[in-house]
Amino acid sequence: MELDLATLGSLFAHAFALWWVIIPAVFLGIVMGAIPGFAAHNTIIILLPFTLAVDVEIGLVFMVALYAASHLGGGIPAILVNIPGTGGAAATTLDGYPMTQQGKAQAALALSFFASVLGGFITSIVTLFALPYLSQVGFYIHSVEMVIVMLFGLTLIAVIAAQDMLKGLIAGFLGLLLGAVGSDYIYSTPRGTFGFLELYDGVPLIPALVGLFALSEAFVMIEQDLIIAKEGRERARSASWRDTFNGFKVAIRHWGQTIISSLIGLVIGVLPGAGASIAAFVAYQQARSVSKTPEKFGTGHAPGVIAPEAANNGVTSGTLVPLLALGIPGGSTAAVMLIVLQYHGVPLGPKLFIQNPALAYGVIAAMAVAYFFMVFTILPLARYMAQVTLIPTKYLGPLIVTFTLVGAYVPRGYIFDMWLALAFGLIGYIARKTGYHVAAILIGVILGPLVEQSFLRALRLSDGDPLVLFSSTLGNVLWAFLVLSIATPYLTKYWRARR
Amino acid sequence: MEQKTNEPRETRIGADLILPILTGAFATYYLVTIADAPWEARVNGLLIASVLFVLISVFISRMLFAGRGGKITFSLENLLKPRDKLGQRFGFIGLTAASIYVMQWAGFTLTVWLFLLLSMLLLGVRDRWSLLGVSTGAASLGYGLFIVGLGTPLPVGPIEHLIKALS
Repeated sequence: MELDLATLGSLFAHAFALWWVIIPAVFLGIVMGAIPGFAAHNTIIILLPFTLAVDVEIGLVFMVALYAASHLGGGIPAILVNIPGTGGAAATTLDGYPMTQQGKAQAALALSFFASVLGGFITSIVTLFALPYLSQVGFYIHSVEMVIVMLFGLTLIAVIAAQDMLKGLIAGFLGLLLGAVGSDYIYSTPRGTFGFLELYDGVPLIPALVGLFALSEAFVMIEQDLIIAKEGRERARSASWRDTFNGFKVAIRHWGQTIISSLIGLVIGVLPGAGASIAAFVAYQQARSVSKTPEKFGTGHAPGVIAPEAANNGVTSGTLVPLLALGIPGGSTAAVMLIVLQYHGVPLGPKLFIQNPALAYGVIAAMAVAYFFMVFTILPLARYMAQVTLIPTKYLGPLIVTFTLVGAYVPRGYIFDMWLALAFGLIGYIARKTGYHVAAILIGVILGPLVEQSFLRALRLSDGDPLVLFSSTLGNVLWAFLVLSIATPYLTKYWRARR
Repeated sequence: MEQKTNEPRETRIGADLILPILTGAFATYYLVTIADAPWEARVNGLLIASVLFVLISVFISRMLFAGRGGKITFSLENLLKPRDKLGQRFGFIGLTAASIYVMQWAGFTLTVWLFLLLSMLLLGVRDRWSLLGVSTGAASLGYGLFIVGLGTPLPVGPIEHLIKALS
């Protein structure tokens, strides 16, 4: 199938004709993405009776629209109440919530929506044209390169730790140790599980996320009447449509950052096992390292919202690449999509592009169209969503605890996970009150097991030789980028001081 | 103008040390659990725990160094302030723990209703219509969205059983 203008036009026209599937999926995805624990794959699993019953194309379009929208939805609570709806939105809290505390929630939401939509739209279009090439990326990225990609994310711990390096590093390494809890990957030896069978698979991400961000935030927020700082309250109360427009304008001004971050998300999304959390942290670190004002990151700086949101939405189309081109699901959502495709007897891999190219390319076009619809459905709601920040904490705190604890329970159905969330909530509470950063702990919990897995695989393949980490050309290039990304802010600061 | 006094300088330690001490204890426990494990299972934990011990030692040394020549006192003030909200905070955390404990018997809907009612009361909501309206509305919304709408297998109790029997 040649992707000329006429074919593209018909693909998009067909995708637009499916608006009646896309719009409900977008709304559902945004709501589900905004509730921690109700990730896209959970919702898609719950809705399997629907997606299996309808025509394969409609089912697939519904799933990709819901999946894409859930990534956008995850950023909403991250900005409004410092609680990421999905792991991919954890990095958004770093600058999104400080903006809310300054009374700029509406502008932050507009920024996040625009970056998400633009990032998702651009990567869908890139994927449409570059699908055959992108499907090859997985063959060049081995465990060594994966270790370095993860290290990009881990360096963010040092960035977060900038105010008090020691406290930040202690928090980050505590997270890494918590991430190392559970059976090891080779011999299944239980490690640091306190005898709980529920921890043999490692520390589950959602209870950790709910505890560190949601519960600890709820415990801290009740000390004040409102979550907005006193000086930002008047601004929040008098917010008008102009604030949405201003957020939109700032986002347009940073279009370059949006494109770069979304492409980072796309490439990381293509890699099986990697995902939105890694992409968001890597993109945040990249944005900070090339920024002229790196010191503003973490204080409510627009690029600190744009980078993670564009990246985690760039991941969505990347996830589809190994699924469609190779028949390998790159993540849990793609795995559920695979079930639906197999149920309908749709061949995957190269056969799909020979026998049913309209379906393969049509799904990606539908994702681009879903992002297009998101602009009109979600952007006008920013003003109303921002009103959440004006709800007194005596109502907001209990509501947050109630609904996020459910989120901790849902993925595995264990009451134990609620207790685990409470334990993480207490750790997060102590951390917040004594100047440790909960995001540094979470980065460790997310990336720790992934680094260990790739590191051990690389060591096993090289008979235990640690120099394997420097054995590939691509790996060495990535090492150079890693060193550059760490050194650039310091070098820039040094050169500026000398001038 | 700042007045000079002969009283020794006071350095407060305590709250900042809680997390490093807990971390150190956890790292020690972790190392004990992997003592007999194969090297592949140990290498990651050993690396992380070693760095943690170094970081914690440096952190404690920094604190003691800052307090040299002065008076070091133990204080949890950073954690406990503001004191006037202390009861509310501990009560809220206690209610959260109680709600998790109770949920497996009382079910999702009743637990949510009770938790919201009691915690809002604890946090200072006195208007009975707000108390009843928010707790009943949120519990109903949760029931409708999670249990009916999405079919989420949440813990069931008397309310869920009653509704099922009636329907």
